[in-house]
Amino acid sequence: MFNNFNLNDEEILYLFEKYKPLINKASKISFKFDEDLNQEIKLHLYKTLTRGRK
Amino acid sequence: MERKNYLVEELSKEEKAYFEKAIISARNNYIKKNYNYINSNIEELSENIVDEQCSVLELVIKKCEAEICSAIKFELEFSDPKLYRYIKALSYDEKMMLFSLYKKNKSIRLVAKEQKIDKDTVRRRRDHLLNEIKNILGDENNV
Repeated sequence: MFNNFNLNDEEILYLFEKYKPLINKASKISFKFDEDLNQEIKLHLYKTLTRGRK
Repeated sequence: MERKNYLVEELSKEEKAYFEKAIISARNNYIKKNYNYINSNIEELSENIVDEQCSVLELVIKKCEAEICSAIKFELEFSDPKLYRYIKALSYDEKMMLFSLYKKNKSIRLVAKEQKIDKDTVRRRRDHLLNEIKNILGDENNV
């Protein structure tokens, strides 16, 4: 899965862009877009997808 | 095993599910961490809305009432009938200015800010009014 969680930065940015609507939808609190939450989600995804890096 | 290129290939079903799950867990963690902050923001907002709806008019009315009462009290301060008539004939702004300056001991800067006029204007009006009052008192002493 995700090449053993060893994606490069380019691939991660591509995935962020591709799944932007989903990420933005999850970044809403009380119907308002929360930039901090958006950043937190991206950071979490980045850490997850690169945890296999040496 | 050959490496999958994510720039070209789509995510598999499992990968997509994992990706979505990661987003949801990040969101839940964030909400848990900032629960108090988020809730306090919502409460403050709703309180403000209630305040705006109910009490803005009341606040304005109360403020106006307080100002009018203070102007009337200032008129009554003067027991001398001549002086009383003179003070009664002053405009509302002039009465408020004297009341703020001498009854509430406010600075000229504050009075100017309250009445939205220049500090020099306050000084000029004050001097003019005091001169008038002095003249009235002087006349009485001469008689």
